[in-house]
Order: sequence, then C-alpha cells, then structure tokens
Amino acid sequence: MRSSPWRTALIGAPVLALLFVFLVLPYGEMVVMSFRTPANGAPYGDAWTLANYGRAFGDPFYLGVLLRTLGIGALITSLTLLLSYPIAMHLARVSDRWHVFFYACVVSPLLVGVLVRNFGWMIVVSFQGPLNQVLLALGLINQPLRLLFNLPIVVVALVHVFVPFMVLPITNALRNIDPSLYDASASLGAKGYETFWRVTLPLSVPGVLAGVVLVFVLAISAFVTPVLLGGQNIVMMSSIVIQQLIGVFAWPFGAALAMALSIMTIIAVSLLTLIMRPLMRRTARWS
Amino acid sequence: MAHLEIAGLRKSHGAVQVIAGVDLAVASGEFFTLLGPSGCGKTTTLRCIAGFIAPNDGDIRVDGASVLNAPPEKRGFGVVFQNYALFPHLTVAENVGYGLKTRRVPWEEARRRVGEALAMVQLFGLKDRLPRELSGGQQQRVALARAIVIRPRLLLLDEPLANLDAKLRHELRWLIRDVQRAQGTTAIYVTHDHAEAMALSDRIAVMRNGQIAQVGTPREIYQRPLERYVASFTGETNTLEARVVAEAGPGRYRVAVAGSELEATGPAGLTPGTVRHLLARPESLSLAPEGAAGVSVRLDAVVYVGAALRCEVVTACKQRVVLQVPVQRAYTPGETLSLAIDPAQAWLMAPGEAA
Ligand SMILES: Nc1ncnc2c1ncn2[C@@H]1O[C@H](COP(=O)(O)OP(=O)(O)OP(=O)(O)O)[C@@H](O)[C@H]1O
Ligand SMILES: [Mg+2]
Repeated sequence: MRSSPWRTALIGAPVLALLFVFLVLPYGEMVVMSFRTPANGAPYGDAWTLANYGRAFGDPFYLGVLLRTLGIGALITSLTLLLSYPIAMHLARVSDRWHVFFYACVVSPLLVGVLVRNFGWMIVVSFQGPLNQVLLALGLINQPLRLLFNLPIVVVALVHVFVPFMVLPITNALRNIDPSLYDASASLGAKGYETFWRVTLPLSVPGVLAGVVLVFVLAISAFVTPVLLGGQNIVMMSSIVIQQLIGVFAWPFGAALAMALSIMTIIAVSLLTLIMRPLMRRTARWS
Repeated sequence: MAHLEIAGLRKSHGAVQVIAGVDLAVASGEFFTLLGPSGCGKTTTLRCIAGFIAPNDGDIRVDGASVLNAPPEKRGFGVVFQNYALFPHLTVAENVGYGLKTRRVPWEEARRRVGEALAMVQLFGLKDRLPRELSGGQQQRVALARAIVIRPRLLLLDEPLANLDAKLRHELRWLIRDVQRAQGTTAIYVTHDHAEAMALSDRIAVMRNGQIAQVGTPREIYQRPLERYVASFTGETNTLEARVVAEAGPGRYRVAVAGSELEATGPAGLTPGTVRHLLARPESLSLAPEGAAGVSVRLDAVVYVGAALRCEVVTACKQRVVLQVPVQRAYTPGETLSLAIDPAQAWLMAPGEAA
C-alpha cells in the first residue's frame, strides 16, 4: 500500500515543527548573530560586519584552535574506528543469546552520565589514583605518572565513550552481509584476509561512514571531557566558544567561531562522503 | 577433470545426525546429481565437499587424494549457490574475475577468460552492470560463469535453479549442461526436482534421511527403483501388491495381482510366495474391454488433460491406480475394464514407505 503524500506530510509534521523550533530557528539566529557588530548591554549591535569571520579565520590563535580541534577530532575518530571494527565483527558474529550481553557491554559507557564518567577518569588516573598504584605495585614504573591534563587522557576518555556510536552502525552493516558471500569468496580461492579486504570491508562501508561522521561530529563538539580532563593544556574550539559567549560576552564573535567550526565540519564530512561515493553507490541496497 | 570418492561420510548437528554414512564415487567428467526431499542432507553433503563445513567422520577424495585437510580456498572447486551469492558491490565482470584475481592471473589473460566465460553464458553485453541491475536468471548465469572461469576440478551446484520461474529453469538447465560438457568438468548437482535430475544427469543418487537410497542412471532410477521410496520420488507411480507365483525366465516372473495373474520383471532370485510391490508407471498401463487379459478394474474417474485421458481405476482389492490412455475411446465412470501392464515395464520392488 502506498500512502498519499498528504498522509506522509501529516505524519512528518510534528517532527518538522520540532526541528524548526529547536534547530532551524536557533541556527538561523546564530548565523545572523555572527555577521553583527558587538554591543554593550545587548547580544549584538545593529550594524552588519564580516570582521568576526576575519578574526576567526585570520587570527593565528583561533585558526590554530580550529585546526587542532579538527585534528584531534580526526585522531579520535580514527582510533575509535580501529578499536570498534573488530568489536563490531565479533558482535555481528555471536549467536543471539550472547548478542544481548555483548551489546550491553558495548553500550555501557553511555549508561554513566558525562560528569560522573569524567570525574571517574580523574580519580582513576590521578597522581595517587588506582592506576598509578597498580603500575607502581607491579614495578612497571618507579614514580607515579602524570596522566591527567594532557591530550592522551582526553583522547582515551572520548574514544571510550564514542565506541558505541561506531560499533552499532558497523555491526548493523556487517549483519546485513549475506554469509554465503564468505563461502563464495573462499571457494574462489580467497584467503581470510583477502575476503576481508575485498568483501567484508567494502560492504561495511555504509556503516563505517555513518559511524565516522557521527563520532567526528561528536568529537569536535565535545566540551566537558576536554575541559575537565584536558584542563588548560588542551584547548578545543567548543571551550573557546563557551568562553567567548559566557566569559567575555562577545556573542557575535563566539557565533562566528562556532560557525567556522560548523563550516569546516561540513566541508570535512562532504569531502569524506565524496571520496566514498563510488563505493556507496555500489553498496546501496536500492538504486 | 577429476574423480571424486566419498567414503563413510557422517555429519551431526548436535544430537541430530544429518548425514548418516554416505558413500559415493563420481567419475571424471560425470554429471552427478544428489536428489532428495527437503532436509535429507543434500546441501550438507555438498558443503562438506566444498569444505565449508567439516564432516565428523569419513573421507572425501579427489583424484585419489583426501581433501579434508584443505580449506575451501585451496580445494579449487567452483560453487554455484541457490541464492547466487554474487558480490553486490562488484560488477558482472569483476564478479566473474574474482577467482582469477585471487589466483594472481595476469590482467590480460584474466580479461580474456572473463570475456570467454561471459560469452559462454551469453551475458557479454552486461559485463559492467551491478548484480542488482540484473534479473534472477541473469544473476544465476553470472554465478555459473564465476564458478567455471577458474576451471574448477569439481563444479558444485546447490539447487541453482530453485529461485527461477519454470521457463527460465528449462533454459538454464540446458545452459548448465552445455557448459559442463564443453569444459568436461565433473559436476555435483543438488536438486529436489526429479525432472531436472533426469534431464541433466549421467547418474543420480537418491537420498533419504542422510543416506543414499539408490545410485543409478536416470533410466535405472526411474524404471528399476530398488524400493518404493525411490520410485515415488522420481515421478508418478502406482504400486500394487504382488505375490510371486513362479519364475518365468531370468528376471521375469509370473505374479498374482488382485486375483489375476500377469507377467512382470524383477531382480534375480525371487522365490515363489515372496510379496513385493509392483511398480507400474502411468504410461506402462493400458485399458482394454472387460474380459481381455489383465487385472479386472472398475473405472472411478476420468479427466480430460489435453493430450490424453487421465483415468483412475480401482482393483477388486480396493487398490487405486492412475493411468493415462489415448483420447479416442469414450469411457464412462463405473464401467468394468481390464487393466493391462506392459511386462517389461512392470517392476517388482522391495516393499517400503513412499516418500
Ligand atoms: N547448522 C545447522 N544446525 C542444525 N541443524 C542443521 C544445520 N544445518 C542443517 N541442519 C539440518 O540438517 C538437515 C539437512 O539439512 P540440509 O540443508 O542438508 O538439507 P537439504 O537436503 O539441502 O534440504 P533442502 O532441499 O531444503 O535444501 C535438516 O534437517 C536441517 O534442519
Ligand atoms: Mg539445501
């Protein structure tokens, strides 16, 4: 049965209204704000200007933060992908009885609130914390390591919480692969790694792409973890934006910085999608 | 070209024995079919040969050497799957060339061989399409080309035509046979369609519950089934209870059927008094007016089926028999007739269950 366009529109209406009020309007407001002059006692002045963007892309400090944020995002995304793919392969293979168990394990990082999770990390890796104690007791180190307030701990903590976002779409893609393709590949002389390279990996690309985009966007917009675990040393764009908005009340410039990050993200994601397009077209279920 | 021997093959899934001792010998270049009802273990047998699963017991030898320790990628067999199993992200040419790539065949030669294989299945014009842009029949042609392009030692086909409509099934049936002949490949074909098995095979193995019930040429399987199960699985059958009265010559007997005596063929060495099932295929029977030689029967129903009349008759012992007779004469249900059986085609088989 085909539903009429009106019916479809009616079903979609609440979502569209919600998106309009909570996404399109604020975003529109932000775009407008980013082209305004600053003002005292008001969010922004009446005049239009490009100066905010000039500063966002021209000032080496802000440009540096922007590029570093994108770089850290790419690093986190890559590590999450490397870690998640084997997990997804395992999850796609296990029997239904064990599936729920492993599924719960994978999703577990999301079951803890963001503040609790980050304070947990702070306790675990602190100077006197359990991790250092264990390493000392094992004789692997002679004195406690300074593990907090640096890039590695931020990356580790973010990868930890982003793994489910990568694992689930990839698992889904892998489960959609007809198992007889593996038999076919083997019967045609392909060894395990060849089958992985020529069949498994290409056919999981839709899932990989979904996971990569999701994690990349989450990573570059992460705020709490870089601030709590990175401290003053790891400055990412979102904390600069917050600082401009709340600390200095420079709303137009903060909006421009946020827009700069959005634009770069859209460019990065578009580039990725463009590169993957030939493969995506081939792996699409319907033409 | 290779010959295959299977000895004492067994495979269990948990407590269920799916293959319960299979012995087979397939000659080089032979087209050999495993025929049997759903769930009798045909696919499992084929998967053991292909190496996708390991048997619990027994041996599989190709050209005299056991292949059990070789993984599927080392066996060099071509496999055609029921659901085609084409790589959805590769074009027709890339699918067909897959096995050449893994064999590191030089590009120029690979291209030529892919072209030849596609020409053989009459698909050359579609070489740049993706599988999802093909019809089911075209997809199965690609699957066949992909399996033969590697010049496999054995060609294994698991119900390759099951997902196609009747017309395509006929067309592809001959294509498979032609390709197999042209290459001289030994083929193991799995099906539950007896007509397909008859038309294609040099020999057929009829399977039942994980065992081989009978192996023989299509003619042997059809005309000389060892038991009722095999007969009922290879076409329409009538079985009548028959008691051997006397031997009338080597392999020929006089038997009593429903109060009448007639002549039939059977295995050597049946002693008078033995009770057997008399197999009478519908086309080996004819009806004559009452009083002629044969078994006296009452006509129960008659249906016009175009080329012939399909009659159902009942013997004095309430055994029902179906046969086809020429349309010339008119028949009225209820009339008494005489059922004659061609002695050469009346075959005595061991009693047993039908399929
Ligand atoms: N992985 C498995 N686990 C448990 N039982 C199985 C498994 N694979 C097959 N079987 C059982 O083994 C029996 C034979 O299966 P098989 O697939 O070989 O049958 P088949 O003759 O190919 O039937 P069909 O004509 O329906 O394809 C069936 O009863 C099936 O339920
Ligand atoms: Mg099967």
